[in-house]
Amino acid sequence: MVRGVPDFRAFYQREYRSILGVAYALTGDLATAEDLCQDALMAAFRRWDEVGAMEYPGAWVRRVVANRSASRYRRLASESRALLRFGQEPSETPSPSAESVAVWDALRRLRGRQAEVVVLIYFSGVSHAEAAEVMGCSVETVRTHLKRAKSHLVAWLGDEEEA
Amino acid sequence: MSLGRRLRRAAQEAEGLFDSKPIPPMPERRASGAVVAVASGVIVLAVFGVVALVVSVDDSTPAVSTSPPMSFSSPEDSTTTTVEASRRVTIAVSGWVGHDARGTVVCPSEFTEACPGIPVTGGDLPPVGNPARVTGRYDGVSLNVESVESWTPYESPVERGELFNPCTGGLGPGTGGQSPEIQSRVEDALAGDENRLAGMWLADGQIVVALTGPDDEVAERVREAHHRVCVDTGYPRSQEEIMTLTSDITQTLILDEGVWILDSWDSASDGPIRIRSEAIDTSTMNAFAGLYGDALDLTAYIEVLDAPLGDLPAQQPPVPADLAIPTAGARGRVAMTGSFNFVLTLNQEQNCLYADRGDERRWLVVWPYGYSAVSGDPTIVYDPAGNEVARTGVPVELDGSSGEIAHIDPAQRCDADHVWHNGGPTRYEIETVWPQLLDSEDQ
Repeated sequence: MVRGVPDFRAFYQREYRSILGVAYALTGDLATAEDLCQDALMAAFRRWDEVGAMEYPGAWVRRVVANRSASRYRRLASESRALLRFGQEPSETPSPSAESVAVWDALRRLRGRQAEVVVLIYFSGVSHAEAAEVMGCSVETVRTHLKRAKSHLVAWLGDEEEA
Repeated sequence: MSLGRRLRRAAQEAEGLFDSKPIPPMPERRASGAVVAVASGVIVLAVFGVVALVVSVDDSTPAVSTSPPMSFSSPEDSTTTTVEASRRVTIAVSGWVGHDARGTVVCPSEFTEACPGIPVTGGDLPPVGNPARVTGRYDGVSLNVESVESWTPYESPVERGELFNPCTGGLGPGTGGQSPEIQSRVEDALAGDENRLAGMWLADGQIVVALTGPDDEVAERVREAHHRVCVDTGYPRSQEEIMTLTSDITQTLILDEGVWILDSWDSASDGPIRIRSEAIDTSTMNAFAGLYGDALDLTAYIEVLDAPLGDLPAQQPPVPADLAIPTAGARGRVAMTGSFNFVLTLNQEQNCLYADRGDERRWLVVWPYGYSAVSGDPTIVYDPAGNEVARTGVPVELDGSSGEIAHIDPAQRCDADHVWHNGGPTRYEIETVWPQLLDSEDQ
C-alpha cells in the first residue's frame, strides 16, 4: 500500500486556480504567473510525500510562489522593457480592480521573507503559528517580518497600520 | 480602510481571478524538472534525469532488436526516435566500475548493483566501485575497450564538507536553526544592490556573504549588518545570473538537443555551473563550451566521439527478450513518491503487460531503462543485469511515481488507464542539506 501519500491530483485540481491568482498578483504577468504556478506545484509534486503530509500544503506552495516571484518579477520588468523596444503587443490578462493593483504593486516591492509572510497570512489565511511552521522559523520571526512588511506597505500605500 | 482589510480584499480578488480558467494538465515528472533549493544561500540545483516518455517495439520487430530501443524524447513531445542497434561507434564512458552477470560494466552512478551501465570487454579496469573513463567501440551490446583513463567525479562543496570560510576569526560552530534575522539584515544592507549577491552560506559559525564586484561601500554596508556576517567579494556571477544561466543551459540541452541530464550543480562558491549529461556527442559538447565558456563545465556518462548522438546504438538486454515493455528512454533516476504492491498480468489478446494493485484501476508500468521481458507462464521481467525483477501472478512492490496515461501512445497502453513509473534499483531521493546555523540569542 502507499505510504501515507495523499492524492496530489485532487490537491492540484483544487488549488491550481487560486495559486495562479496569487502568482499573477505577485508578478503582474500571466505567462510568468503560469510558469511560476507550475514550478511551485512541480516542486510540491516532487516532494509530495513530504509536502502532502504537511497540515498546510497549499500554504507551502504559496510560500514557494512568493519566494520565487521576486527574481521573476525583476526579470519580467527587463523583458517588458525589451518588448516595448521591439513594439510587441502585451499579452491578454485579466483586469483586477485599481485598488488591488495598488496593493499588488506594493507587495512586489517587498523582500523575499516579508512577501512570504504576507502571502501566507493574508493570501493563505494561516495564523502566525501556522506561518511559522510553514516557513520553518519561530513565531517571533514571523511577527518581525510581518511588522517590517506592514510598515513598508503602510508607507507605500498610505494606510494606517492595523492594530 | 485598514491595511489588513486591503490585503485581504486583494488576496480574495487574486485567488478568484482565474475561476473560469481551464486547469492545465497536472505536472509530470519531466527531464526538464529542476529543483532549486537555496541552502543558506548556496544554490543547489538538482535536475531530475527522470523518466522518458515511453517507447516500445511493435510485433514485427525482429529478434535481434526485441528489446526496447533507446529513445530520446522531448519532455514536451512524445515523439521518439528509434535507433537501430546495427552501428558501431567510438564512445568514451565515464562512470563507476561494476560487476554483474554480464561481467564488467561501467555504471552511470556509484550504484553499481544491477546498474543500467554498459558492459565492457578487454582493457585493464580499476577494481569495482572505482571511477574510470573507458574509450572504445560500442555496438549496443558491449564496449570493446581501447583505452582506460582515470576520471574524477565531481563532488560539490557540500558533499566535500568544504563550504569554506574566506574570513578569519570564526566564532565556533553555531547551534539552532536558520537565522532569518541575519538574512533579513543582509537583505536590508543590500537594498538596491541585490544583484551583487552571489551567495550566502554558513561556515565556522559565520554567515559568509559572497558578493560580485569589488570590496566597496556595498560590501562594507553588508559587513556591518551583523557581527557574524563575513563578506567576501570578487565572485564572477550573482545568484540570479547563475539561476538564469542554469535554466537557459538545461532547457537548451534537453529541449533543443535531446540531451538528458543526470546531475547538475551550481554555486557561487564553486566556479562554473557543472552539468553531467547522460549522453552527448563531442560536437554538441564543443558547441556548448563555445557558447558558455568558463561558466559551464559539461561532462557526460557517454560521449560519442566520432558520430552524432543519434547514431548511438540502442543498448541490448542481457536476456533474449521477446515481449515489448515500456521503459524509460534514459538512464536517469526516478524520484519516488510512493510504493505499491502490484500484480502483473499478461494481456493475452494484445501481448502486453499491465498491473493491478487491488483497486479498480489498471496500471501500465513503465520500467527503468534497460529492463526487458520474456513471455511465458509466467512472464518474467528482468533488470539490465539479467536478474528477475517481477513475474506475472506474484505480488511485487514497486517504488516510483504515477504519470499521465495521456502521454502514452494509445496503441501501447495495454488497456491501462493509469501509469506507474518504476524507479528500479537506482532509487534516490533529492536531499537538501541545511547546515546548522546560529543560536537565537546570538541574533
